[in-house]
Amino acid sequence: MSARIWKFLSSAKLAAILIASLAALLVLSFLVPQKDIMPADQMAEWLALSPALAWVVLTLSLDHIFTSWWFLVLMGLLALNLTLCTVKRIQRRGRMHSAAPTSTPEHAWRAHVPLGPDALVDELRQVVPSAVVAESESGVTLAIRRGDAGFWGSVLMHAGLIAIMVGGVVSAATTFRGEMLLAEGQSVPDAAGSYLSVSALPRMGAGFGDFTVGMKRMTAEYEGNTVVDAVALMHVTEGGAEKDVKARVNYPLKVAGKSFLLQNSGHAVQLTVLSPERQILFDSFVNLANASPQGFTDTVNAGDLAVRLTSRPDASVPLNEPVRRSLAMMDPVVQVELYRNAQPLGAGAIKPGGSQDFEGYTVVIGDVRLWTRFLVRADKGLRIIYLAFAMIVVGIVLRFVDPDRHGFAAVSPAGGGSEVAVWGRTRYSRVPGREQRRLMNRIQTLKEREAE
Amino acid sequence: MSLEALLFWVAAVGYGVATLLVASGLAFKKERLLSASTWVVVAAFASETLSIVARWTTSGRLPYVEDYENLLAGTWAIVLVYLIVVFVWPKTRAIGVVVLPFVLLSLGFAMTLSSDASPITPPYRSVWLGIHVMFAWATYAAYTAAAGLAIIELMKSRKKPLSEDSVLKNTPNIERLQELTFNMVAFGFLVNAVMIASGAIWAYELWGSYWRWDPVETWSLLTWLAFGFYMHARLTLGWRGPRLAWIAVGALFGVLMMFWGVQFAPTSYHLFRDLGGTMQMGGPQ
Repeated sequence: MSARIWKFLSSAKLAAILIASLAALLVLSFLVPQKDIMPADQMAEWLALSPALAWVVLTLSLDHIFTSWWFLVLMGLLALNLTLCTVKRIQRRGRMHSAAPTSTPEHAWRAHVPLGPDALVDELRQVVPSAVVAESESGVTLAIRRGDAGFWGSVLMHAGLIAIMVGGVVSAATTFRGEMLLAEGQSVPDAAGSYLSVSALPRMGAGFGDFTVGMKRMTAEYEGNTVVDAVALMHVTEGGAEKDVKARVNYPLKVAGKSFLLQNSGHAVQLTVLSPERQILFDSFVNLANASPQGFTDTVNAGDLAVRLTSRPDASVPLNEPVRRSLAMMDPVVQVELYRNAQPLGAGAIKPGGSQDFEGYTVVIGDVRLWTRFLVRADKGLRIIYLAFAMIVVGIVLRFVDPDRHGFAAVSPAGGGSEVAVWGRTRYSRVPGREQRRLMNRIQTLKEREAE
Repeated sequence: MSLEALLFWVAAVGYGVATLLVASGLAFKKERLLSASTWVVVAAFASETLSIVARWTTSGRLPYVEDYENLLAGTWAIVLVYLIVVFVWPKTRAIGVVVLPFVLLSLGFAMTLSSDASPITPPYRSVWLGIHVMFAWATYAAYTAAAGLAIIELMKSRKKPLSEDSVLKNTPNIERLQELTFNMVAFGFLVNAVMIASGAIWAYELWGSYWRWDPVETWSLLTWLAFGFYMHARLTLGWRGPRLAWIAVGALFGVLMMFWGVQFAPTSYHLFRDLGGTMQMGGPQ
């Protein structure tokens, strides 16, 4: 019973079924929108098209195929099957190495050479000195075995595939996903409260580390009106040591296993609102969250007051003209509109360090800086995945540069000379391998020499 | 019309003429037409190369950023591999019947996406992206050539014997064609793996996730699996002949989906027009 289970689990047939199922799922994932990729509102719209279809999709978890339990079972089975197939191959090759061929196959290349078997074998051994010679009643067999690197390359490649699946599991268990917003000059500890949002905490190990991260300065370089480079000068304090590190898009800040990936930026305005009685109604930095052609905008509430802020990087550009280089801070100005109970109290443009009165209320703009949004990621499976990629690529290269092959030459006495058959036992091809070709060439030369 | 556009049009017309020559050569059994098609492709290829150089000179960077540029450079790589194959093995010229229409259609599609070269934005400034894109071109090229060779094998292995004057008589024998197809698939399989790996590394550094089951990622994995199955069918199951050739031809569908299908996906990280949004203007989400 266990032998039958082993045979089934290690069969190429099961591999074919599992891979075909995986392929079918991949096609299905293209046809059925996946909620990980599609925005929630579009997803809801799609599901509303047909309640019956929506029921099927939701019941079978087809809207998140790659995180469904049955997909994980499929991948688990595939990992097991790949492991067993690889073990089986190693065992089979060991047997193949130790087994001498018992017969000459029909497709073997044959020739008659007017040389005695011993002389012919000596000649052939000069071509392939490493050949193992086996004598039998019918004659002599030379066995050439090559392609160890190719064989182990194939094993390495399959091991790499298994490692990818292992890496995926480790990633799922250890990943940290968060978003952090830092304004220039701001520094925060790596703690839950410092994040804009945390969407995934590791199931194993700590989610936060003992360090602080800050952004000293953010600069954006333009070509025309397009950002071509953006650099955040970061400040990190970890274990008593402090350092400044630059972070760019594609080149994240890496600290204590976490990567801070620079995403986008906007304006942060230091706003203070005073009442007619000089009481402080609002005093904080405001990260303006919305980008508009007029600049970065947002509205903050302070009691029954609402302050609408629009920050522009260059005061010399008229208000009715759209902002072109929004992150290039030249001579910033903030357009302020003040409302009380939705009734406008006034509007005006204030530069950093300036203030303006609106029917007794004072609005002070302390400073205008850049904020930057970072995706924060930690993933202990990443190194396994990268190692797996390397294993796969190196494995494929080895597999095809030095394919696993067995070449044979069987020499037997015949008609005053020798009958020789040359063939290969590679699955790669029936086209002769390098050693077979060299043997065949030598035999051909010997025939011609003897004929002369 | 700019010099780049003029050279592009010369190349497109050249590939169109070459496609007609290959098709006519096969239909009317004229070897000379096949031979002529190769030289027309050489001329068109030279024009396409100059068109790429012109764009490169104008923009000051390799053309790999926009959909138009990817199609331009991708077809260039496909034709390069095609020319290498037909110059190393001149008897395989008939693969043009698959490769050249593919190139022609891709260039036609590129025309609809044509735009002036824009500056390179921060998300595209990555060594890994460069590697990813170059290996993607090599992948498309290898798989397209493999499918072309498989088509010749299928045409040659029909039950009805080839007529004496058929130009396919001059193509390599079926065993040799199978070898060449296998070699092309093996090369494609390798560069496809590098493409996926480098893309994953780039994606992690940019978006913090090495794999997101994006439609293009999914299709590239599917294609890799399909060609992986092709190799296992040959090496492990010992398949030969038309059914194996059909796999090489059928798996080309995955390449089409990677190359063109992304445009029809509801959403994808591979839609280059969307990617440029990062690091421009935006608010906290």
